[in-house]
Amino acid sequence: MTSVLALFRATFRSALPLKRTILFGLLELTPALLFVLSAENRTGEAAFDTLVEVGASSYFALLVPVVALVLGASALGSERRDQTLSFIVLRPIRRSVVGATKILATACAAIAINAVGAVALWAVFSIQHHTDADILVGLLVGMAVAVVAYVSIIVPLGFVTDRAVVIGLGFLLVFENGVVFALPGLATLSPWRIGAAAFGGITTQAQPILDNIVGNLTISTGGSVFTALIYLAVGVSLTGLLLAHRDLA
Amino acid sequence: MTTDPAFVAEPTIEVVDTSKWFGQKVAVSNLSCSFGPGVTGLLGPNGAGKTTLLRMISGLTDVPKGRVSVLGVDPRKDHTVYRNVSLVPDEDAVYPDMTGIQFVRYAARLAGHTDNERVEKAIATVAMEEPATRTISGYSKGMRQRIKVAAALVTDPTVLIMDEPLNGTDPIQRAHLISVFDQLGREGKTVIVSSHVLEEVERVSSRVIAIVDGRLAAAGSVEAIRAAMSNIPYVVRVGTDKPRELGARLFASGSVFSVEAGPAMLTVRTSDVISLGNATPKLAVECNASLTSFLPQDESLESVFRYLVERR
Repeated sequence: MTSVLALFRATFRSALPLKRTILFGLLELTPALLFVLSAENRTGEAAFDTLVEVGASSYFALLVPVVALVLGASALGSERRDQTLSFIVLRPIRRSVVGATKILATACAAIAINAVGAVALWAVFSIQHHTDADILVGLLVGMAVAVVAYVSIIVPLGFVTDRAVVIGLGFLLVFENGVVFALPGLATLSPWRIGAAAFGGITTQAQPILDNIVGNLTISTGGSVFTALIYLAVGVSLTGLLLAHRDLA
Repeated sequence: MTTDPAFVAEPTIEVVDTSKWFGQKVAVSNLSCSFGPGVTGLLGPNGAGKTTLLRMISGLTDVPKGRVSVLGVDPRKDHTVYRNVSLVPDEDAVYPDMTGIQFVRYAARLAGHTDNERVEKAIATVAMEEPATRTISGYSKGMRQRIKVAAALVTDPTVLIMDEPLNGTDPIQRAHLISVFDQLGREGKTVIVSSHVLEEVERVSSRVIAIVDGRLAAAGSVEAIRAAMSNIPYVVRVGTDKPRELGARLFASGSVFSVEAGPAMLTVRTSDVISLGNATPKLAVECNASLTSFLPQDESLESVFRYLVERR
């Protein structure tokens, strides 16, 4: 347990260097700013609809994935490049546990950064309109679900290639934000939609708008969490296999 | 009881008919040897396959052909072996933003050790107490080498594998590290120290495994390796205006294997370059020949190793 905690702490810390944290922290304020600009003169249901639209389009579909992809790609990738990975894998820890710890610690770091955006968006809505804890909980849970799914994919990819961020962004912009809009049947392969569906499961009044966004996914928190756990299981297994079988030279 | 110097009687590490290649390049070829308690030097020129062999032993790379076992198990299949095995890699596998003490503590925690006493002891062993509070990014190469050794020692391993650990160290640091390795060997730990410098290996260990082109070149005591090397026919080119006369006298002098005379040049093969160097001017005077050059060829450590490989 000591070794896993040490690895978790070190991974979490290395995922959040000061400059990156400040940069992403500032970017996280974008959805709140967009909401303030878009919801001007809107009240009640119209303001709430704007919140959901801004939340889905700029927060779930852009900011959450970008943060998760950037942090996830470097979780193992940077250690492979600077050759410190050998320092970790030559310890009495199963390589599947190393993989799982790396994924979870990176996911926690991405969740911590993305929480800034969720809180900021909720705060400006609450100040201008009314306070609804369900919105904040929904945003946080949905974001966490999406982050876990993204990080589970990108951590093993980052280990295999130096271009994981580019590939991840291509996946996001071309596949998720392009192809899946045209072919909603592929929505299960879009992590941010899984997160948005979890958001809708908690913030039920957002469901009518989210129905048009999440494709053929059922809006449900439980279902989304389950799907994210499948992503996690696949990511952990894949990372463990890669660490165990690939040369770490 | 084994008589082949490549093997030890009570091995902790066994390498059996092992090969490893990267694409078309063969890094290790049908290599068999073993390591036991005490310090063993792994000698070979750059690119000889030392690092690949150490990576296979430590489980960082797979073994596509042959078998490697450490403390009786395959390190690729049994992670518990790392409770007793540590590697000091050649590359700077350190976290520049950590202080030395944080780095060594991290190594201890990853192995499940929580006591700070062993961290302090490991740092003291490599005489890094004062710099250990500074971040590694400000360390010299020698300091980084020592902190890596401390991180390897902190788990008190039975097997310690070190890839060029003396690279970048100054003479004082080197002498200190060598005494540390020596002490570890005396304590009965299996210590492997790789180097491409014969004199360095000679100071570190009494037993040497020499490899080149991924193959075993020589094994045994440093004295035995030196003796093997002393029988190598070195090639020397001697420039003279009377190659035939001087060549005949050199051949008759005894320490020369063969002489080939060319226009204004002799190609001489000898096992003793120094004696040849002393004798040549005298013999040139005797036959009234003038010397224009005396150029030993092929005297790099690599060529010596190649000779040993071909001879095995």
